[in-house]
Amino acid sequence: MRFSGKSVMITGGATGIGRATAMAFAQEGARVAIADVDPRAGDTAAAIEAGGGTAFYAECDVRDADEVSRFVERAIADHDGLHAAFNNAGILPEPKPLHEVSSEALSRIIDVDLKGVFNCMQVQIRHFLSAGGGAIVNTASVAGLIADPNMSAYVAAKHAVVGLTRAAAVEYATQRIRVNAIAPGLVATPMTQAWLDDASFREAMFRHNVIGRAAEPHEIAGTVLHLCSEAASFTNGAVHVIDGGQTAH
Amino acid sequence: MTVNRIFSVAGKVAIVTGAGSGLGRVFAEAMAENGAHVACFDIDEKGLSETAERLNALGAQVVTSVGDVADCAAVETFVSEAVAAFGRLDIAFANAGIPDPEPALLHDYDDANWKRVVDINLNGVFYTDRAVLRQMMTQGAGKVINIASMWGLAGASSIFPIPAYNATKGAVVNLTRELGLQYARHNIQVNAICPGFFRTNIGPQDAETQKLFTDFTPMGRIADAEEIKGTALYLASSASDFVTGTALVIDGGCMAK
Repeated sequence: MRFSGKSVMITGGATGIGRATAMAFAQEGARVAIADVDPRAGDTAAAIEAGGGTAFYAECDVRDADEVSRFVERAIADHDGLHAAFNNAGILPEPKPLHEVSSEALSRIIDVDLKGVFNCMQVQIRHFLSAGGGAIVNTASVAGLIADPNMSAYVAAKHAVVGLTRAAAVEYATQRIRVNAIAPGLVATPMTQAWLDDASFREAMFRHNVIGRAAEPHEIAGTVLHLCSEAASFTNGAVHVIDGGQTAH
Repeated sequence: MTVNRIFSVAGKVAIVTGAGSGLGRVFAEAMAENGAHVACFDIDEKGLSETAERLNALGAQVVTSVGDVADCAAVETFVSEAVAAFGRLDIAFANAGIPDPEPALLHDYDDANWKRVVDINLNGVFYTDRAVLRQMMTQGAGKVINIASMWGLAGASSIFPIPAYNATKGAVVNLTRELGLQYARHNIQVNAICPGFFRTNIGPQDAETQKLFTDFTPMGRIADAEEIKGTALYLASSASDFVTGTALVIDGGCMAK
């Protein structure tokens, strides 16, 4: 198994990509620490334990650097170190044209989707520097590479996650810390369910989307596992797109 | 499907062009080590038989074919023979490529050199992809992996002038995007790998060049050839089933800086 004896942490592990990836890590032998503000992440940890794996859930708001720090400390203590991190927690804004986006709405997206990733990376990198290395994967989005209409705050935050990923990848490249990002397209999760239930959204979304469907969360997990593993030992500062071809056009 | 199997290629049939040396041999080994049958193509008969010996030692079933990827008929014969030998074709590495024979600024560039690089690095990929896609369309599934380069994403003259390599690898990246779109609905994923500097049994081995490559790479080292195997397995397996039309950079951070 790829992650036997390894300790990994995941933010946003209650549902969707985070939950599917947590389960996949556990099936590959990892001890999994799950952070979320959504207590359903406890179900993810329970499911892993029920399957014979090792996991805990702790409430953690990624906007709060102290909470993040305490969470990472617990992961290191309970799971004998930390080898890889999947900074995945994120939220979507209410779709609106840019001139109608309030400053508060912008701040909320930036705080969770960008500063949340930054807060996690900072603590993880401090640990990895002292521990002799580690791997970080950040959840960006195809919105980190292209733009969807009426999603300006999200597009800006996800572009920033791509930039943050590259910046850290270059800064720590010689210190055995690899930092990469994933850029999922549309994935069927609780976060996107309202969109997928909306016929006009689906029509607009799939008009130029050759694959014509959303990904299932488990279809994202393989990429995260690859990037977090030694199998990707020379992959650094990369953005792995998982979108069924959406951004190839 | 359980996650334990998502990186599996056991029992699959893979072809590799340029399998006689360099990263091509490594791709072939990555497949064989993980239980795939492998058909290997190269213009270098000796290198090809060495690869075949290594794969046989891994317990893989292997067929080989000597030829030039710039020769469409030879490529098509090779793919037909692979399908005849193994009954199907699941994974293709369109890998064969050459560097610029004489690195030069463009105003001094030699016609024959340019055409040779285009013939192998671009036309060879076209012949290979077309032949394997014909077979994969009859099967309703497949994984096509085109080997581009980080020099398909950026100019190279901060290191050396290789305009034909730049042009052809860039073309392979964009061909890959288009094929990703064309075959998305046919359950065939087409992706490119864009390697940075890898240490293999080919390419410049002198200390000066090694230092140039090392200094250019943020990770401060040249990759071991083995380090490409994980990406090969990822793109060849169901771990990448929603990934298509992309170019994966594996370069120690070169393209991030």
